[in-house]
Amino acid sequence: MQILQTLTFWALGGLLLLFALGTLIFRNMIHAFLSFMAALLCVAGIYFSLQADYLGGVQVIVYAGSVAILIVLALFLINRSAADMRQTNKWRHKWLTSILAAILVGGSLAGAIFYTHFSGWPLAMDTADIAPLPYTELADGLLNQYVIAFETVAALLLAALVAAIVTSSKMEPEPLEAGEKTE
Amino acid sequence: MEFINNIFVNIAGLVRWVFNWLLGWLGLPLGLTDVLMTAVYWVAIVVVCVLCALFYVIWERKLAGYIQRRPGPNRLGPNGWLQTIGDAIKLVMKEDIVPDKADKPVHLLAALLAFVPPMLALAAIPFGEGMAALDLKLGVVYVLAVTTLASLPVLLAGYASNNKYSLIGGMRVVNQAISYEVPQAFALLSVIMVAGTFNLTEIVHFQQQHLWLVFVQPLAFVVYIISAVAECNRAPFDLPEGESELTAGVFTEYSGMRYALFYLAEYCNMFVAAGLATTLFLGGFSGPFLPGWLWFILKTFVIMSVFIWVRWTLPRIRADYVLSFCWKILVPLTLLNMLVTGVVLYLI
Repeated sequence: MQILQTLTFWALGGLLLLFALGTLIFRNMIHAFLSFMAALLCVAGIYFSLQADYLGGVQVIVYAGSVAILIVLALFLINRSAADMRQTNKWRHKWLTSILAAILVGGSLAGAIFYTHFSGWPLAMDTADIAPLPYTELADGLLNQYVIAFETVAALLLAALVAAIVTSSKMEPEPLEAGEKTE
Repeated sequence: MEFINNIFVNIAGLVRWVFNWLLGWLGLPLGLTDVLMTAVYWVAIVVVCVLCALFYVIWERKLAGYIQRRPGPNRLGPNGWLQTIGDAIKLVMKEDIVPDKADKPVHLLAALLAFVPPMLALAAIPFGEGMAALDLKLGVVYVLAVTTLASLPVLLAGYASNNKYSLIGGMRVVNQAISYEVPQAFALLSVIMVAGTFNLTEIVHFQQQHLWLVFVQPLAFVVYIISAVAECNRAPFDLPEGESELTAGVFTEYSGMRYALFYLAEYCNMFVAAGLATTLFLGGFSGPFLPGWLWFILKTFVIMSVFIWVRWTLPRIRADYVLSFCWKILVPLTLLNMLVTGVVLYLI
């Protein structure tokens, strides 16, 4: 099993980097989304190959599965034909923001990696040693112990979603009906 | 008897032995056997996919014929049973037309990707004792996750064709798939609550020891079948390609082999849904006298025939009814079913 796992790890890792790059450099928004979804699926594949079934499944359902909704929303908000979709991925022009975001995210990731004590390089890891994730404890933690934090995060994400739609679309007041009074 | 029951497991064992011998002879590390076996499993899954699609296309046309009191295709081969092969050859030889203003790479990619989700899902479904390519601890979660992706190629096809009918069809696919995933997942959850495991093989073993879960969870079974029909975009939920309003919906701009891929993928998706229903509700590969894999094939055949029967019996439902039926009837029903299941399990 060792060779198979090593092969999958390197293949998926390489693909992941390529697709992540593609997310940034594709000019067409839909292509960028597809590349993003492929990157997320690569992460799910790595989870599966490391015997983290639950995490992999959640990754596919929550992240990769919702790219379809992302595309639908994008097609709703951006009114262009398929041939005219170039220049819809604007991140390449916002280099200052991009560099700042890269430094912040990269820095915090590097810090996390630096301060974590790893028992072995992923390649040397034997999957037989990994204890199966106690799902009942996970459920207890999410829905019992930390339920308020969990629900708050959900509410926060919903608020962010609504805010994004409200701020991105210019809503014009509907024209009044003939008999309606102005206030 | 025991040999026939395990024939595919034995064949896999033989192939593994041959690979081991070959690798030892060539002086390569034996761990490569797993890599080669993965490739063999994938080839087997592709073969199953294609065979299913070919068989069920002709079976659907035959059964539709019987339902409508006409013979159905009856010219090519014995009593018309070779018709699909002829159709497939015709579609391969047809010109592959791509619209001028289409998003060409995505247009191609959508057709190719259509086959991926059902293949990934089939890998986890146990066709017999020890006959799942991927025997995951969380098989149900995996299959649910993978089938979520089935709507994406169709949406991409709708967008990439650069055609209004296609785009509307693509939107409808996502609309429907996302809505019906909710009652489907809830229906499966109540099954899992009873069986106490996410592993598909263990669920079958549970049913062998006790009784088929369709008798314990009849409501969940009905809801699952309805949402499976909706997720496969089949009548009465075939709004994405509703030919009376949208020409051919998402497939308007597809022709030749690319259209054939979508068409065959639809049957593979149905087969996955039928396979999951068999495994979770109808005792999977368990049954007397006949070998396990044959029982699996027979049970999926019955469910597939029900899908076809429904398609040729019911008219298409209006778009808003599709959604209100899901959110106002199926979701509350499945939630209630989960509540009752939980209370009963708590009391027992």
